Amino acid sequence: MDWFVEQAQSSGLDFVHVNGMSGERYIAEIMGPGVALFDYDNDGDLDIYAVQGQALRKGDQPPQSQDRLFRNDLEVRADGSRVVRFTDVTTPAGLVPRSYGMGVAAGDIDNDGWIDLYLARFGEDALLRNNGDGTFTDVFAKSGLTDPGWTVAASFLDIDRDGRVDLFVSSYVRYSPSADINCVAPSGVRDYCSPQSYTPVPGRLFWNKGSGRFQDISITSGIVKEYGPALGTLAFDANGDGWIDLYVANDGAENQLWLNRRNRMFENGAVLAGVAVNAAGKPEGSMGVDAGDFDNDGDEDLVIANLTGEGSTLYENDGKGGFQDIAAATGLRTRSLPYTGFGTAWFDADNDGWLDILTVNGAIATIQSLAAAGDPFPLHQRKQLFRNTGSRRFEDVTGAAGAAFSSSEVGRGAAFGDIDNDGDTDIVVANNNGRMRLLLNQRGQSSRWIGVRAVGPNRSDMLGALVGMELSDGAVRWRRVRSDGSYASANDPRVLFGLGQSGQPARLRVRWPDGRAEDWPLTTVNRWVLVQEGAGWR
Amino acid sequence: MTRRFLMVCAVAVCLGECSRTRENAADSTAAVPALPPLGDLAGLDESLQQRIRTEHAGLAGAAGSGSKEQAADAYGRLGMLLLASERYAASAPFFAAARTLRPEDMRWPYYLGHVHTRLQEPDKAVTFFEESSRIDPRYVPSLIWLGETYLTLGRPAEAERQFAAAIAIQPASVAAWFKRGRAALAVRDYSNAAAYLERALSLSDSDPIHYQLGLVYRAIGDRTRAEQHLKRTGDAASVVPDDPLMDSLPGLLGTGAAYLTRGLEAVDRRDWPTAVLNLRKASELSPRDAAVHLNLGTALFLSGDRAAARTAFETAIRVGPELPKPHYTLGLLAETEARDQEAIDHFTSAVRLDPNYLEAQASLADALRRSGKVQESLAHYLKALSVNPGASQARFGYAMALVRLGRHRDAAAWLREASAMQPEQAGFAHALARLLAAAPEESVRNGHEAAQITDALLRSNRSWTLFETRAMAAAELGQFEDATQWQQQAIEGATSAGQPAAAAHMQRVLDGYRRRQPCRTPWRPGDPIFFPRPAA
Repeated sequence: MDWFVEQAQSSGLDFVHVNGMSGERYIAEIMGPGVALFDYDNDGDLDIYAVQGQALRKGDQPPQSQDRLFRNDLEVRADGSRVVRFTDVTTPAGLVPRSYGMGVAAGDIDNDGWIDLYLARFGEDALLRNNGDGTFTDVFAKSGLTDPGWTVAASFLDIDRDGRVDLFVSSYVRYSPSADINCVAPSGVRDYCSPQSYTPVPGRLFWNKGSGRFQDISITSGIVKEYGPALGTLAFDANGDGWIDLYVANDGAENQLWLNRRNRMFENGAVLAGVAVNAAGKPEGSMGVDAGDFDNDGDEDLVIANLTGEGSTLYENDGKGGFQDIAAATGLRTRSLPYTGFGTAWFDADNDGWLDILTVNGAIATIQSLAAAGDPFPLHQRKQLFRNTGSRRFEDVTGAAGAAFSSSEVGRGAAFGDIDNDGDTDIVVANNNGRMRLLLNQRGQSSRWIGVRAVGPNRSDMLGALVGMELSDGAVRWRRVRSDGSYASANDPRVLFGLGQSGQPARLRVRWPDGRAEDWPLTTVNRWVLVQEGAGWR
Repeated sequence: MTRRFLMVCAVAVCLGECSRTRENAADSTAAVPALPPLGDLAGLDESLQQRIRTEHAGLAGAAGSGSKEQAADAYGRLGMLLLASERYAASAPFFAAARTLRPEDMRWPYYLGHVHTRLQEPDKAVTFFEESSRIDPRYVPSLIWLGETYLTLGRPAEAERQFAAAIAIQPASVAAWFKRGRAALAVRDYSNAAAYLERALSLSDSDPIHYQLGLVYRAIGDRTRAEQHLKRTGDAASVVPDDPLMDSLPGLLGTGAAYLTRGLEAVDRRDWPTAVLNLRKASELSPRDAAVHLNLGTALFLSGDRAAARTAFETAIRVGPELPKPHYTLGLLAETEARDQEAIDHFTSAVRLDPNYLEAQASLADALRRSGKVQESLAHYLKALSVNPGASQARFGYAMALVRLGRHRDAAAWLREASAMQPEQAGFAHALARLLAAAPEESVRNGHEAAQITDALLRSNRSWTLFETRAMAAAELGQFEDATQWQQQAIEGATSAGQPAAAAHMQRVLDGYRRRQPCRTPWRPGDPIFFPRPAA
């Protein structure tokens, strides 16, 4: 049985990204898009926000379509079978953005229980407030946010444990098509420029003052002191001190690990932590990034997707905020060397309790063999799925993953979540200048599982909360509530625990973002539960 | 049964091959493998394409004639040309043919190892490096690249053996000691890792070695040493052995792009003569490439040849008028030669082409301010700050422009905000203190706050300019005896620092303190603070 089946068009998820390419090889055309999985209507299933491109060259016609919102009309039949069906609700939602979209982040900015969206763009960004009635309003202009230029990735995170999600927006480089540089590969072939041809721009950190209003604290927080061409952002607790830190993955420059020093101040600790560059001391062309406890030792490790020839990086956390790049030792590096990875994340594909890795790939420079064969868009590569063997090794199971993994596309964003609520993680893939893909997991549901949605008093997902599942054998597995990670995309904030064939939960533990901890007995399996701060689970 | 059958077939094939080889040796003509196709050469320099096709045609024409050695060399030469041209997949069959013809020649499996490394196929590369090392166990680069491939494959113990073998042949090989250290680090043998890396460092003080050593010290908990070494990040891949076989490849090309690459590599190494040599060649071969001229100009400037640098930058503008960077660099050049109007013209061109060009906006603002066009400078400082709000120099320049325009209240408010935003930038606080102590407007002045700020700054810095400010604050508070003492210290400091104009001005102010007259000139008109130095 294939691990995944592709069902985008058959489910109504009919979306084709247009990158605006014209033969000029503008760098902007190959960097998007991302995609969001989020429950916009609070009906318990994940909907999809698809980011669209635009024309880049003056005079070119814009694409017919724009960003789109697809409502999930999941049908669960009496026999337990599930039918995933998407309906395009862009127009009734009041969405009229016509701009060059890059990425999307999801979070409840005003704690009203409805998830809002930040749209990162090559152009003016947008902050779509969810009105709670199926519609959105762009409130960027009156939110206090400022536009830092070409943005790709953003993260909602609570930096000061005040219960309101703040916002970090990363910037890539200073660029406009009118100032495009004509780059060539060393062989003389005209090609896309690398970000090193342009100047990076610092990202912005915005503090949420309440009621959806933000204040730019980029300078006082310290995060403008060091920056590069940023493509990946991730909020996680690197040093286990209970305060959310921020990791910024840069394309061809040292990465930053902004350690939370409290009082809304941050300090870059990437070099000493060992996560600024790879094991060889080289900054990599980093795109997608995610944190997860791959070895179930209680701390979060990082996986980063990089350029062809670099291989993915796996930084193992020593539990004290120090990391070591073990990608080569795990077998991950060798298998990923031929590919340029973008969307990537930790997820338990087969629900055996060990976090696996999926990477969607697609080049950023012409692949010679494809160009020689006359391919009009010679950047496509296939996706990869790596299974965690549980002994600090990864095996490439792409071949068993299904026909969807044999197709070669220019992969960019990937959002991970349980779209059909059957207890395993599905994936939406956003391809550059290509069709969106829906990969439904067929394998994980054959193992035992338990899923948890952790919310606050007003039913907002508690981004940054740590959810622990204590098993009957005493082992505790930890997963973080997050919507960021991967590339330019927003993920399902719920956490899913694979239990294998015989795992049995015993206790549910939660460390809330404000530092409080709660725990309850929990022995149920194969269902989603909701846990609310101060109110237990159901 | 099947396996034995296959083995028998393999033996038969081998015997057949051997027989053919003996026949070939006997009659001294080569049994030439089928000629591999060239593949698509589009995009390569026309002259290079022609050379490659000529070599290929020559191989076809020479089929069956000449010795095996000659044939192998011919195939190998074409493989090398394609490898140097980064046509890796196309080069492989030619190396394979050469290897078939001359299996005892270590060059061909060696180059195949590099081909497959560049094709991101370390599984295949390792086989060829093993072969080349077997044929010639004394070619150190072969041992080192075999070890490096083992590291990539997550086989550090095998890697370590290769590096040890390399060291036995070349005890002073930096690359061998360095990579041996990395192999030890990979297996968490920190003691040996430190020893090997320290040895490498003793042979070459380079950033990549420091970084790896930092990882070792961090792993063993020596945070102080770790921090010292980790600050020097550097790519381990840049630590390579002297390798005549690979080093000979770039010279085969003779294209503009190849010379540009070598020139830029030399710039990275700060080898200016080599950089200029290669970039000049690149510019001759690629005269319409503005980036080449720009890089040449930069290398010439850094090597000290300003006149030639100017010519290169001007050429870059001529062939690439839409690019802002050549204008910016010419502006910098003009600044260093005190030709401010010319600098302004160039910076203006740069920001017209790219309004978000931070460095150009900031340099233009400074140049305008320096030239007395202070009002004009304001907009450019603000634009620079809109691109990067952390640009403290631009933020400070804006404040000084306000002071120069007599807008002391605005300047004080700006500096107060700046100091709150960037408390680590002491210059903002100091400038604020000056205004609070000595602004002409009473509504701006606050002697107490000026004294507090200056006292706080003096705890970590005892500069004569701070003494001068403290004197101003004391005088504002009516403490003229204190002001006199502070001012005398300031004058002594300025004199020792070779600042006679400042000392003379402060003497006049001191005379005023003695007459119980406070200072109402926060900065003297000729103070260097109003004339920002050109960007470094």
